[in-house]
Amino acid sequence: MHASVRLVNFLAALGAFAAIGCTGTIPGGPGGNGNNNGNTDPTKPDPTKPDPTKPDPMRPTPPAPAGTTASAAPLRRLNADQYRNTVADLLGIKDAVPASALPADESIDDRFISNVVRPVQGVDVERYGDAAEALARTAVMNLNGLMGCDPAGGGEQACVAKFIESFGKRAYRRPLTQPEIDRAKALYTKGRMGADAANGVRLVVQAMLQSVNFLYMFEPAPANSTGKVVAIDPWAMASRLSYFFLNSMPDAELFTAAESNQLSTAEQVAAQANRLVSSSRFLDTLGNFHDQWLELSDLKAAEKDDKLFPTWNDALRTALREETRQFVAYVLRQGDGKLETLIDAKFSMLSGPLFDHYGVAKPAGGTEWTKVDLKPGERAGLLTQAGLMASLAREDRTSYIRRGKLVRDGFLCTKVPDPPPGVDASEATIPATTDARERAKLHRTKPECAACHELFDPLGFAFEKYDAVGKYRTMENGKVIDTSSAITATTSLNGSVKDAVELAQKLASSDEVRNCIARQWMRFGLGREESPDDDASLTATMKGFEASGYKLADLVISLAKSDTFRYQKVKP
Amino acid sequence: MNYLRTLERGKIGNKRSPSRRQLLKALGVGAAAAPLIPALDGWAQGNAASGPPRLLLLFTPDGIVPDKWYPTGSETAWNFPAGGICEPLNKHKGDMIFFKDIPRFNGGSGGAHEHAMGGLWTGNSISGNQGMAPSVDQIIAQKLPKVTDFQSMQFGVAPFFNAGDANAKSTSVNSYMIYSAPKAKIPAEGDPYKMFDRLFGGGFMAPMAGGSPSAPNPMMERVRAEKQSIIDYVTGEITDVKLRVGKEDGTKIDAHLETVRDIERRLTSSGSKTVSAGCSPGTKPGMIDLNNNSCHPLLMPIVNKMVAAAFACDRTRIASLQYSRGFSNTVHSWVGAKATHHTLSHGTQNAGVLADIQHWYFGHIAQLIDELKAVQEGGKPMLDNMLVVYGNEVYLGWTHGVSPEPTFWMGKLGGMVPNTGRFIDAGGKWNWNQMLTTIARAMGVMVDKVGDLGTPGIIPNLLKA
Repeated sequence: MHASVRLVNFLAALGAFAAIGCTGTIPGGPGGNGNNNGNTDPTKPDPTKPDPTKPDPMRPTPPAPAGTTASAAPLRRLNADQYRNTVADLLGIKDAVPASALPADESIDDRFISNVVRPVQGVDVERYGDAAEALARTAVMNLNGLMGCDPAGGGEQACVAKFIESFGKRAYRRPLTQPEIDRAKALYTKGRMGADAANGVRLVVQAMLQSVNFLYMFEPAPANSTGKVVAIDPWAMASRLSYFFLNSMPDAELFTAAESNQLSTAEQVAAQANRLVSSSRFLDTLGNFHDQWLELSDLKAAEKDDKLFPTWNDALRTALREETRQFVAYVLRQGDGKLETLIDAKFSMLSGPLFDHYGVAKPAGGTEWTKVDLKPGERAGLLTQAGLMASLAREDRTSYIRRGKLVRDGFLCTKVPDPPPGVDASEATIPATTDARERAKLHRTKPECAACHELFDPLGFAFEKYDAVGKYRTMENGKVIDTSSAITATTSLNGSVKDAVELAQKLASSDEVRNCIARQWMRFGLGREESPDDDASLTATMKGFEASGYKLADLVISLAKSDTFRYQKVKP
Repeated sequence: MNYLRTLERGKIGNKRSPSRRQLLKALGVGAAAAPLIPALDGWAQGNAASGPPRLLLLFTPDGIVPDKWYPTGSETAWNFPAGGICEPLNKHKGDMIFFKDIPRFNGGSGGAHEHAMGGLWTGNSISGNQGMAPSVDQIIAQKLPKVTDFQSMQFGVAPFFNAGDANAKSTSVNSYMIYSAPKAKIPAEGDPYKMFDRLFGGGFMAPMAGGSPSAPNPMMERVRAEKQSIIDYVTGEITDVKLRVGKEDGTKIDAHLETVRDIERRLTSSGSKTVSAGCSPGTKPGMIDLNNNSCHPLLMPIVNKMVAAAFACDRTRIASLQYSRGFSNTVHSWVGAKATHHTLSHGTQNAGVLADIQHWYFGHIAQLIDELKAVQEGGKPMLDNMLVVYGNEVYLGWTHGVSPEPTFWMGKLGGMVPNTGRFIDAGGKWNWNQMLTTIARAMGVMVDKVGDLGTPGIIPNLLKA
């Protein structure tokens, strides 16, 4: 039995119709007196045919110019952050759904949060359902504001029709098709029966927020084109840009650009990317990138042994995490915007408890987040910031392993395999009083461990002067700390370094590192791992990056206008 | 939305056994539909009258205090240490098998806590801080046929509590102990209000209070009809989308559709098939601020009751109950704790208060067991048809070592676990992976080994020959 018939019978059986005056039905819905099926009205456009003046999300996208290479893009489902940001933009309701009430996110390369591999499980869809209901009920409390018209003002049908088309377009990030409009109208009618307009609208909002069209980022491709390279259609392109730069749904400008087909050429996309990089919202994205790239999200919950580190508390933790965000924002907006500065700066942004933590005087008149020169020879850029050092450490001791591994896979893009099964990597049995090199020796007695640890342990030793809360120190257990080390297994950086400051200096001007960071931004920006089909785009991105003197803003803009960002290889 | 809920005054269910006729009425089906309700039956094993077998995994965090934990005595004559953690379970000793010295291994890259949570019920190495295999309950859930509306359920008390930050941008991996596949974390539901709706708010109609015949509730029917029309909408959209995507995306969409169909099935299934006489949803909880540390004690009995009701009403037969989370941020101020459980767990000098915290949890575990025993099935307590397994993500908080695993069993699993009331000092002879394998076998899932650590095989003399 057809679902809607079943529903009507169901209600009828309950005698529910007795109380229902069938007001508020709209054309296209069951029980309505309109009839779109035959489309007998010659003045109305035929909904089964696309409007040639507008880009049609269902219409085949043009093939790419010969020689264009682009990677296939796995279907992305909104992650918790994107979901929260999107509903905030869509409904104007902030923080209504905590991340913990949404499905657990995946990450690509154990680093960047993106739901591209695992299909949803039962409980995930239940959670989307619960969230949608809570949001929809809140949204209809301001019904006229939500709808942009007053359904009680005499024109309910027109108001609802207008709402469905405009809200639907923003929710699905593309115009609705006629069958979709009809489906939403039918749902409104069901919700309206025996209840008020708000209830009908609530059902529509609740259903749209659970639709796959809202939850996933579809990037349509023509049929029978598997393996071919085709353009990303303007609506999907608007989403690619907005979820990259704003981590949310497209803003008004992107909608306008998509509507008028202004997201096709590299120049058009670059213009939008330029605008988005300059927007204040991009700073949040910049912070998110660094949070995920540098694994700083662990810092929030990082506990430290309070006997060893009595100053460690929530205020310090929060300030340390914010420091990195403030620092990258400063470099981008007020500083020279260069990658080199991010990696090698001799200053940072400090506030509150951080002056004591770094052992520098608070400048006179300095208030919140002041640019401060750090003690010469102690620090250099992101890698030596106290928050990162505290995050990549254990409760009571440093972790040369995690620090070295971040340099190895985060800055040099060398994939380090997991330890073989059955290896206890928890260090639970190693005494806390041993120093890093002694621990490494104990750790590497097994030859199957030594080979990989050789890749990152020596890099980690360079950071031993930053203790488990990131404070600078020169002694440990009564001995002077030796941070001298040797870089191996790189294409251009091999050789000795005396400490992390020197290491940072080397990294800052290395093409290997620049390439790797462009790769990291590509993973973050596209929410997927790169493939060989991305090589040409990475080369092009690097060209733009280099031409700017390695400025971060130019890196992300070059990435956005690269072929792999604007085209896709059609998946099977 | 803050998490302050308004109290909903629902009907209070009672423990009286409804007649079949009343049950059918309550389920909202007429006499004609009666043959569709199958006779009460077992699941994989067990006899028809006694109720189906069930599994409950039980968790408290951050390690135990050995001298307040281990019993002394022989296998059959043993006692908990006086004033110890398990003292509240004294009255349930006869239902227990208490294990000592079951080594647990860990492997893979990640922090100590992450190893602990991702490895606990999976018995597997981790990668990128996450479990890399299904946990034992999910191995069982994936193998056994679907006979209840929920193949498995994950209950929690403050499983995501993050020092009160309701809007934390991301969740910690330490909040997850259940995995359906590598890195596929299944969250515990920490909101009892939502959990109640999920269990009893959709298609399920409980036997009515007082046994009086009741008319269908038009409000409930309206809610159900609206849910159905949303499902119709959502499935309609999926059908459209399917026509426009390729095989690769289609697989993901199919998985999505399948979960929506499951929800629909629950909505239209008129509830369970094997409702125990003690089935009583109780009242919908309310007025609980989930982000308030001091509300945690309030949540414990509510969630316990819901777990018992879920089993009694046969909403599921496989569940986990996670009190707090690994790396617990709860401050158990009601037992005198002045810092988070995790922070305290790092210091041997805090052994006293750490034992007090666990003692407090075990008081609630004892209450849960009371609830499970209060439900009668074929003249026997429901616990007799259950296997309850306790685990903690670490052994000692101050080393974060995971071995040996502090664990015990409760219940006879319908006769599959014939001899309870025992204290087994395993002396390291059997390991945690063998324990997990034994659990799977007990539930009728014939695996040789659970997880990539430890050794294959089962612990002898626990299961019916």
